[in-house]
Amino acid sequence: MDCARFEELLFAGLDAELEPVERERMAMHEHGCARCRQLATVVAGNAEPPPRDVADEIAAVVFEQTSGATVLARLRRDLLPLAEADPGPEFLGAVLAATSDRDRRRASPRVYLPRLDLSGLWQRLAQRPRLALEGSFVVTMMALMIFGLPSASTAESPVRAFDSWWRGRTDAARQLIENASESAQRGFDSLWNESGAGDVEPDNPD
Amino acid sequence: MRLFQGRVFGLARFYLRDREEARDVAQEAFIRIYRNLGTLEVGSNFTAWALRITRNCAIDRLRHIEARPPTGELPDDDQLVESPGTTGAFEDPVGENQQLLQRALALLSAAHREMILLKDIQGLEQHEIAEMLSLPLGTVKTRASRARVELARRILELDPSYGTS
Repeated sequence: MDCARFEELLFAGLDAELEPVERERMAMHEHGCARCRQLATVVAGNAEPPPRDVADEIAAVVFEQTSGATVLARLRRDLLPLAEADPGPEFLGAVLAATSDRDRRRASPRVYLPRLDLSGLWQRLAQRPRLALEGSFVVTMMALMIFGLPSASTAESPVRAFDSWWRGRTDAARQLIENASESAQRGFDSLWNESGAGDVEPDNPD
Repeated sequence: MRLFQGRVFGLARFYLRDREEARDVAQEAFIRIYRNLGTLEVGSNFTAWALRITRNCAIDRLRHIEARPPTGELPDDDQLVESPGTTGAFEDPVGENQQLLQRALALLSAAHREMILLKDIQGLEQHEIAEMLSLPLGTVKTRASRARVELARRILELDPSYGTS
């Protein structure tokens, strides 16, 4: 049994006889609860002055259950209409306008320009050990491919191989162009001689 | 929003006791509610959540109105709830019955008046009030009971016939 049930039965017992079981439960609760013990004493009409803080609460309970009961019942009914008040017809529109303005401002397009922060990016990447390890592996492999192993002096590095290949291609092309140019020159000379243009004496300036 | 505007405005008016200030606070509260809808936990009481936001907005506005107390420290919520009006009466009470209730409410302490507002007027559960006011549940139960009894006694002082008719 809790205090609220004890109070209910205590005041009900003033008007009607309680069941023996209920009386027994009340007695058990009263034995263990100083507040309800004092309340029962006050209701019985032979109270010693209880401590002030307890007295206020007990007096409130007695008031609630006796003379104040009708007042409190009416209060419950009369207070509820105070919950609402009319803010006026334009209130709803003002709130909707305010929220839609904020929505518009929030939805307005923003241009986010990416900042190129390479040093920061590198620092962030370097702080990730696995990524840093993989990156250094890739860089090492690329260096080996380009420059070759330092100890393999006889082996031709990829760069040198490319250079010689490129030189070979350009030399062949140059030779081809020179051959074509020579054959063209020869053809032109033979045509020139066949036409007799080569036999004409040059004009004597004298 | 139509369903809650009356309650939000009613709560704001209780704290501010000025219709225009209350309208501004209610509007700010609705904007905060709208913006924070995503934070509302599933299964929680929307009304209690919305009223808590409204109360916070009202307290913020009261702090603003207080315009820096001489000590340089912010006043407590209870002091703020007490401070805006000396009478505690609303601007536009309707009917003798409401006038009587508001006169009686004005005679209560700030803590009891707020408890009446949240528990008996707005109908919040005790655990919701405890969470809103950062009070133990037992304190809320005791304070709610005492506040109701104190209000009833104040009303009977003002009108001994209350409750008999």
